[in-house]
Amino acid sequence: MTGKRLISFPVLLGGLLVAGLFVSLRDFTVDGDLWWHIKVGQTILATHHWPTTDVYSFTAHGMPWMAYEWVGEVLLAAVQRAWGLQGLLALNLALGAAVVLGLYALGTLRSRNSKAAFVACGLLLYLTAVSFTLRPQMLGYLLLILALIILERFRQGRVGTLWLLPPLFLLWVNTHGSFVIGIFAFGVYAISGLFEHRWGGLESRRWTPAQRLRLGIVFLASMIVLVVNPYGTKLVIYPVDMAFSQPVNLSVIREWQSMPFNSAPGKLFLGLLVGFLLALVALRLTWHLAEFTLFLFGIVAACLHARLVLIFVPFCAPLLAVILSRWIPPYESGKDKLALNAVLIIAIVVGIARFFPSQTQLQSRVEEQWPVKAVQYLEQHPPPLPMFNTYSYGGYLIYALDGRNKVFIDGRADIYERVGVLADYGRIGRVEPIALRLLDVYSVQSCLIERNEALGTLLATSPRWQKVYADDQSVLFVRTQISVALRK
Amino acid sequence: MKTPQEPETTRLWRAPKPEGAASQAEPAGGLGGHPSDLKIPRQPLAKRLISFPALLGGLLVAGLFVPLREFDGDPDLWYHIKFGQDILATHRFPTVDTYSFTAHGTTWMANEWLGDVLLGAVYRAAGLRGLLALDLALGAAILVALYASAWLRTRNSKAGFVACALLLPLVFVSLSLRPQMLGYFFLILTLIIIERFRQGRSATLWLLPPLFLVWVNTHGSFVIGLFAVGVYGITGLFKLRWGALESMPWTAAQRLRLGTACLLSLSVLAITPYGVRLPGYPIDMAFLQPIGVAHVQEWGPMSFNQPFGQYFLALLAAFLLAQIVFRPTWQLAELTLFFAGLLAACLHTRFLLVFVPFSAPLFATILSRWVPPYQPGKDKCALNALLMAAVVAGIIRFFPSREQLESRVARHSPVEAVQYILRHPPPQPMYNNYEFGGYLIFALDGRNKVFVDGRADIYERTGVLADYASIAGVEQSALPLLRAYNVQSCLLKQGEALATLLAASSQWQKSYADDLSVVFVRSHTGE
Repeated sequence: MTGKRLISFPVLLGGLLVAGLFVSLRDFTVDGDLWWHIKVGQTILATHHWPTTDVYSFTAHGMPWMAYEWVGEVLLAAVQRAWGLQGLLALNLALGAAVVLGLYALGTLRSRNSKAAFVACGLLLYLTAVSFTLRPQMLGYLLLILALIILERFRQGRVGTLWLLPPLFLLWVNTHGSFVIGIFAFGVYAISGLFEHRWGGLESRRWTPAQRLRLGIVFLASMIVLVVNPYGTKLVIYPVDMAFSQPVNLSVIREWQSMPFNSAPGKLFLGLLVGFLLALVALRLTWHLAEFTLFLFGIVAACLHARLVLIFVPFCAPLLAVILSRWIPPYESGKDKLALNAVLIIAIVVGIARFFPSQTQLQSRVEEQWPVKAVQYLEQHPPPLPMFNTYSYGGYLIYALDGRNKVFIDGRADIYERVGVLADYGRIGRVEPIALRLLDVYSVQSCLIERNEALGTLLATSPRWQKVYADDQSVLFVRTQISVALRK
Repeated sequence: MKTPQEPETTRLWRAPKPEGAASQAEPAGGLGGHPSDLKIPRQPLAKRLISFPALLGGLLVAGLFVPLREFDGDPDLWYHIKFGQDILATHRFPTVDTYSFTAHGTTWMANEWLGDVLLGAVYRAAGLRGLLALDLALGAAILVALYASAWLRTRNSKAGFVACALLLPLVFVSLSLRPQMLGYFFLILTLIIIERFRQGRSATLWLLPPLFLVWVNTHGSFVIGLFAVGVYGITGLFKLRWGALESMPWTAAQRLRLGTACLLSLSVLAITPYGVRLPGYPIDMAFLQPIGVAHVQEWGPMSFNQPFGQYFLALLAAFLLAQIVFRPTWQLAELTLFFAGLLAACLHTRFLLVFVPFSAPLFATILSRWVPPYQPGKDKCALNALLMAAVVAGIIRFFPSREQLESRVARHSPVEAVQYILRHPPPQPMYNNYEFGGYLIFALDGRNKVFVDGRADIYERTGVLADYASIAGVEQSALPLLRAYNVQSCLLKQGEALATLLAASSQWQKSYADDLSVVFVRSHTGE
C-alpha cells in the first residue's frame, strides 16, 4: 500500500512542484548573507564556541554580537565543507522542496483536495521562490509550515502531533528569528478556540477541556524551551529588538521595504489579493477565525515588508486551496494510472540529476555575482587598510578573505545599526555632502565597491582617490598619496 | 424585504430608504433604487443649507482647510501657471516646446490647457492667496461631491460623512494644486451622474457630454471617467446574481439613453485645440513613457512605509473583514470600480485619487449598518447655523497672508536662488534639479531655458529624462553628459548627490548656496 502511495497521482503532483522549483533554483542565485553565515558556522565548528562579540569588521570590532541563527550556520558550513557549492545547491533544493511539499501537504490537509492544493501551490510557487535564497531563514520557513500543519491536524482532532511543537520550537529558536511568528500562530489558534461563535462567514469552535489542557501544556513547554540556547533570553528577545530598535535597517535594507507592486511578484501578490476578495464576495465561503486572522496578518505583513511574503504564502495556501476546490474535483484513487505516474516521477528525478549544475558551472555563477576576481587581486596586492566596502560585498569578503581584511560593513545590519555605522554607510552610499569626510573619519584607505555605484563616480572625480583595479563587477580605489607610494 | 408577490426585479431595484424614513433594522447594503421608490421629503432650500447634513459637509471642508493652509506649491504648479499666462497673453495654444534648451522646438502640447488658463488667470488676479483660495475651493468641491456620492448610494448622510472623514487623509495626498484637481472633481461628478441614472433619474445623464468636453481639455483623467461609464454601461447589459454580487439589466429606454450619451461624450473628445491627439495622450502616457513612470515619484507603487500607505492598508483590511463578517451585497459595477481603484492605487500611488471616489460609497454602505440616518425632526438648525458660521469665520481668520504664503513657497522652491540668478546671471545653458524646473520656467519668465521640468513626457521622448536620471544618480556618465549638453552652470538641491560630486570636482565651482539650493558654475581653470 505504501509503495502504491509513493507512485500515486498526488505524489506525482508533489514531484512536479519540486521540478518547477528546481528550474528556478538551478540558476543558483546566491544571497550575499550566505557567505558570512558559512564563515560563522565554520568558526563555531572549529572553535566549539559561540561568538559573543564581533570579530569580522573594523567598524564594530569587539561589540557584543551573537550568532542568533547558529544552527543554520553550522549546517551551511558543514555542507559547504563536505560538498562545496554543489552541496549548497543540493541543500537549497532540498530545503525548497521540503517547504513546497509542506505547503502542498498543508493545502491538502485543509481542503482534502490534493489537486486543488497543487494548483494553489503552483500559483504561489513564484512568490515562494522569491524567498528561497539559501540562508537559515529557509529552515525557519520550513518550521513555520510544519507548525501550521501540526496545529491544523490538532484542530481536525489529531492530537498526537501537537507534542512535536516543543522540540520544533527548540530547534527553531536556535535557527531563525521567525519562531515568534510560530508562537503568534500558535496563540491565534489557541485563543480562537476559547469561544464558540459565528460572525457571517467567520466561525470559531470551542476547544474541548481535554484539548485546552493539551494546548496549554504544549504552549507552556514550547515557551520554556525557548531559553534553551547558547545566549539565553537574549536570543529569544532578538526578534523584538529587530522589530522596534532597528529603524535604519528597516528603512534602508531592500528586503524590509514595502511590497513593490511594480515588480512581477508584487503584481502576482496583488492579483491574489483581488482574487481572494472577489471569492469572498461571490462565493460566500466560511472560514475559521484562526486561519482568517493569520491570512489577514500575512497580507498586512507582506505589504509592509516584502520579505514577509514568506509569511503570507503559508497562511494563504490553505485558503486558496479551499477556494479552488470548488471547481477542481478531488483525487480519485480508482482512476489513478500508477505506471504512468512512476515513469513521470522517475523522469523528474533523472531530469534533476541530469541537469544538476557542475562545480565549475556553479563557480562561474558565483563569479558572476560576487567580487571573486577582485578578491584574488586583493590577495595578490593587499590594499592599504582599513577598506570600505559595498554592503552586499561584506559577507563575501568575510568568507573569502578568511578574516584577513576586516570589513566596513556586511549583512549583519543589527550590529552596524547599534554602533551608527549603518547610518553612516547610507550617507556615504548616497553620496551626501559628508561622504568623503566620513571616509576620513573612519580612516578608510581603500574602497572596494560595485562598478556602477555613485560613490565610484565621486571617488573617480576626487583628486584624493585613485582607481587601482576594476573588472566587470567591482572597482577598487585607494587614497592618492598611498597609491603614489605604492607605485614607487 | 422581499414579499411573496414581489417580482425579483422590483426587489433588486429597491432604493435605499430616504433619510428620515429609513428603518435602522434595514442596512443600506443592497442595491440602489428606482425613482418611483424615492419619496424624499423636500425641505426649503434655506433650511437645507443650515441642516445637519450641510454642517457635516462644512466640517469636512474645515478638516481640509487645516492641512491645505500649509500651501507650499506643487513643483508642477508653476509651469502650469506660466503656460496659462502665455495662452492668455498670446491667445495661441503651444505646439512646440519653448521653455527648455534640451527639448526646444520639439512637438509638445499643453494637454491640460484649460486648467493652466484657470491657474494663470487666478494667479494674475489674486496672486498666491488666490491660488490657495482656488486650492481650497477645488478641495472643498471634491470633498463635498464625495460626500454627496456616498450619501446618494446610502441615503445616509452621517454614514457618508464618516466614510469621507475616514478617507480624508487619502484625499489630501492628491490635493496639490494642479489641473488634476479638476479632473478629480469631474470624476466624482461623473460617478454621481451615473449613480443617479442607475437610480432612475435619467435627465442628469445629459450632463456627461459637456462634462467630458471640459474634462478632455483639462486633464487626462477623462479616460478613467470613460472607463467608469463603460463599466456601468456594460454591467447593465445582463442580469447577474453571483453570491453577494448583483447586476440588473437596463431597460430598453435606459440603454438607448446611455448609448446616446456615451456616443456624444466620445464625439466631444475631439473638440480640443489639438484635435484627436489630446484624447490620445493618456494612452501615450500609459504605454510609451516607461522612464517617467519608473522614475517620477507619484507614479511609483503604493509605499506602505509611508503613513498614508499604512492607512490605506488598514482601510483595505477593514473592508476585507467587513466583507467576510457582514457579507454586504454589491452591484457588479461598483465592485468592479472598487477593484480597479484598488489595483490602480497599489500600482501607482498617484491613483489614490481613483481609489477614493470608487471606495467612498462602499465604505458608507458598510458604515450605514451602525450609523443611524439623519432625522430632520431632531435637527437643531440654529446650532448648525452657528457652527457653520464658526467654520467660515475660522477659515477667514486663519487664511494665511501673502507674506506667509511667500515664505512657505520659499521653503520648497528656489526663490532666493532665482533672485541671485537674476542679479548674477550664470553662464548658460544651466542644468537644474527636476523639481526646480517648473519654478524656473515661471519665475525667470523664459529668460533662462531649463534642462528639465515636470513635463516628463517631452523629456522622455527626446531622451533627456534618461540622461537626467544618469546625471542625478551620479552614474559614471554624469560628468560626460553635462559636457555633452554643454552645461555651464547647475542649480541643484542642497545635499543631492550631484552637488557632492561637483563640489569634489576641480572643474566646477560653487557660486551660491542657501538652505534649499546651490549653484555651481563650470570652472574653466580646472580643465
